[in-house]
Amino acid sequence: MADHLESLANRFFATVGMVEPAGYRAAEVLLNESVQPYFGGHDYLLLAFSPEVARERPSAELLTYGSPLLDTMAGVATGQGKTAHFYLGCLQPTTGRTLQKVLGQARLPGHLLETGEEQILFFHHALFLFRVSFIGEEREELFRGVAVDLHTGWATSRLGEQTLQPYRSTEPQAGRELKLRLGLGQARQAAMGKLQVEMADRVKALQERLKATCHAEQRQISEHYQAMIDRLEAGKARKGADPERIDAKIRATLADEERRQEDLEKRYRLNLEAAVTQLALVSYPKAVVSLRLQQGKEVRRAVAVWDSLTREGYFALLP
Amino acid sequence: MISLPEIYSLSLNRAAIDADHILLPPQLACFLPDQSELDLGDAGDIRVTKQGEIVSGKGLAKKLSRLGNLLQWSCDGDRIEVRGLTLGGSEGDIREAGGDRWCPAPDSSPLLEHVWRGEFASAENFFLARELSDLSVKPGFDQLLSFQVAQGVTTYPHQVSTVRTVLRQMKGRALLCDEVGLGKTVEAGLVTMEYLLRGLVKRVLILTPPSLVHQWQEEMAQKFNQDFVTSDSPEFVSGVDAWSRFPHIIASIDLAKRGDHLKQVMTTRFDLVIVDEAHRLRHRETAAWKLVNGLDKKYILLLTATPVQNDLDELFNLITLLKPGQLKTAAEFRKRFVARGDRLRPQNVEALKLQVSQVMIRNRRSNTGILFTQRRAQTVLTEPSPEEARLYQLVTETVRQFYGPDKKPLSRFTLKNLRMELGSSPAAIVPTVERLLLDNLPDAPHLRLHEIFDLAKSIRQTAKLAALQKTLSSLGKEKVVIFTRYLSTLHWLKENLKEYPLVVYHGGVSAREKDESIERFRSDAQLLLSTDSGGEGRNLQFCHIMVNFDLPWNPMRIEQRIGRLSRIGQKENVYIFNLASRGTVEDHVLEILDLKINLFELVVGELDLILGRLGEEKDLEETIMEMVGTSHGDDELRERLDKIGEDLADARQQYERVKSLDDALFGEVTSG
Repeated sequence: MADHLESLANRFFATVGMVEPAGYRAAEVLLNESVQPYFGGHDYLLLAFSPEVARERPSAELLTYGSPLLDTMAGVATGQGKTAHFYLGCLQPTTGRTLQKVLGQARLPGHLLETGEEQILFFHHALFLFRVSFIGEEREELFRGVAVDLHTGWATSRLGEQTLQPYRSTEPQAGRELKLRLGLGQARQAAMGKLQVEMADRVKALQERLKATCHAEQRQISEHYQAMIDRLEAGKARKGADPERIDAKIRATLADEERRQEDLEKRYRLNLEAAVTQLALVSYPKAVVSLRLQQGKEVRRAVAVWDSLTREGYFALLP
Repeated sequence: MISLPEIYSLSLNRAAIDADHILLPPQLACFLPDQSELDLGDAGDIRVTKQGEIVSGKGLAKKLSRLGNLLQWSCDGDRIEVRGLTLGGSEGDIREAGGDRWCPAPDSSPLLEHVWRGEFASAENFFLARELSDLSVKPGFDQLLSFQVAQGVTTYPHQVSTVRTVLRQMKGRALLCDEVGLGKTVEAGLVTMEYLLRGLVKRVLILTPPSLVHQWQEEMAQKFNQDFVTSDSPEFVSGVDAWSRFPHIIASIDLAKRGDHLKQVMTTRFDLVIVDEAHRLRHRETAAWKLVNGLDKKYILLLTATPVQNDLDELFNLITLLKPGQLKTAAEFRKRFVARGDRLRPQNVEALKLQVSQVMIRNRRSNTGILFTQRRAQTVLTEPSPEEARLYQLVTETVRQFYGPDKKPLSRFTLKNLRMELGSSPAAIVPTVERLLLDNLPDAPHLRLHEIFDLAKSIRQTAKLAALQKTLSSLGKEKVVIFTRYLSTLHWLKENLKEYPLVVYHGGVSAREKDESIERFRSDAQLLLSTDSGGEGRNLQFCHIMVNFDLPWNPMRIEQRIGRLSRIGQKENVYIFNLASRGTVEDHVLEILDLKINLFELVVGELDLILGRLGEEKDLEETIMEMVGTSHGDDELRERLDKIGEDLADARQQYERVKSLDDALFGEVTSG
């Protein structure tokens, strides 16, 4: 019976060549030339999905969780599926109470002078999938998707792939739209900013935990070695003591302590990484109301946008 | 809200488009990253209708149109306006310096360029990549990964809790002191896998007593699919810089502390060190303690069911290996926690437990909530027929006659096999003797072997077989596992138990056949005939009756057989029937193991601790064979076997004493 990994492997290898069952919990794969370099230059692979089958068939490569082969597959798959463009054709937003809905979630950036037409406009988003790693005394990783509206710069983390699946269509869609106002680079910075804000509490908690543990252990080690040194120093006064030898021991003890303290510093340092692994454009309609706002002495044009997919509302100033 | 940049906007003069060659402004050049000029001859024409629509243009227009409706076009008189997605703002990638802040991340600019050029993968590939990436993501220790990797391992709440505690609270430095039979090895394996899977550990060293090196190797391979090289393997022994060259090593601690090895091992960095039977490190003055203390290591796990044997200082020494300073200095520890005049009696017990519980986990059977069933053993002694007795006598005499370093032509190995096969069945002897008869042997052994061969071949029915049949019929329809050491005996039994629905199981069958055999045994078959080498790791706890048709002389092998049925998860008491012919070596060995150490009713894991106290370098099987080969008669043999029995009884008593001591000391220290 095929487990999740086995069926995933079959799906994956079908995209990079041909895959055929080859007996109990094994499969043969013929690889396309373009991906052969990733698999050690081989055009053929015999896969085993259990250690016992791998032992019986020494030429087979074992695929399990944590195996290098799985990492290679993930790398190749990511190479082939880095980008996509999704049109959410089945999404049908409605108009009617757009401004009220947005006001329920966001503060108006000025004094409202005039409410304009309420309409459905088409929006493009850049959805960045970040692999976020917290590396301290443990390593924790997670994927977080942040989408940025390329017309206004608004960012959301609610546009995950689970949200996309039910609505996506393969056919390009179009409609009236606001001007595109963000480049992809700016969108990426906006997404990163959103990600950092979202992760801030977690980072702070992790840092505090690590620091507390590190300080406690450092103090303990300090006291331990100090006691050892005190004892050695006291030994110098004893009859027949060899002070040079004792000094050498003290130096060795201090060196040992230094080594352990450095080790602690390394173990409890928190490193954070965020890498964009995939990027998709996601295009779908939203309900929009145009507004005129007064900000100080200046009168500005703005929009109120209601996103019926993420159930979020926001205001954006227009140039 | 971020500040909005100026958007990309471009106006092209129709006249410029109609020209053959135009110099592109920077904004348009970014559509063709490596060019600032566009040769419209290659690009094709762009034609604009009177209504301002673009109707053709294979080159530039095609390139631009890949972005679909992300580009916006308008035409005003002679001017075409194009607005589109740009790469703007790509300077200053998502990276900041490391050290408690966001670290450099791989540059994502190429990814942006793919999108910007309109190079999109299919949705299927996108989601497949997402799924596979998910598998390579490492969540925090709240979500343990090792359980997905472990093969055929049933894990229990106390183990999950232990793994979490070791990872989270103890930061990978822990003394695992579960009572025997609760799976310390599995816990250590799970911790190892958590670190390996997250890339926090690359180099692992497992130090064990010599006798457990291969058991660890097998467990790591079978349960966690990890290949460890052992310190006695040819590639390790013959290799240069073996300690630093191999990332995963299982070594005998005795070897590691010797001469050249010591130098090498001490200069090698290990991310994780595991020491099994860590009570051997209880004295600070020993080479073993100094070795482990001096190792350059990040994480360390010490495994023992009996951390304290004679003196509370032993506990101090073990904990100091993990966390120097946890119990202050030895003098302070004694002053604060050891009662004056009795080095085994603690004082300030609550404070001591608090300190100890920060680095030590001791799960007890009584607080795991797991149902532990009993083992009940029954010896079935049979009276050998005259032919069987004659065969026994012939083989025994042959062994005695030819056994010894200078007694050729039959090797000790051959004689040992012959002698052990005799304890199984006549059918087991036949193939060995048949092979020997093909050798060019002198007359004396040849004639003797011929006689043995003829006699063994003629015996079709034995008293043990009859006893087995009788035992089986008394058990009704109960499922029974029958163990034998030899494949020939297994086939012979299969022929003689035809009336039962049965399956066979041995090292020679494929993984698929093994799975099918177990499945058939679970559903339809009543008997499972198995050799020792066939069933490691397979779950047989749905059956609770086993028969040892023959008995290995090495009690660890017997323990492994019993362990297949009698382990955590077994819901019934396990019944063990041991068959032996009266008056044989097997009868004596059985008597010793049963009466002196109560082997068949021990808890899994206790036998290790008892045998570990014998201090014998040789394993018991070799020792017994030496006695069988060199004794001058049955009386002498019996006397010598009885001596082994006394030693085993002493070892068991010592173990019991230490176990009670540790139970009393650490009763309340659990993984909570």
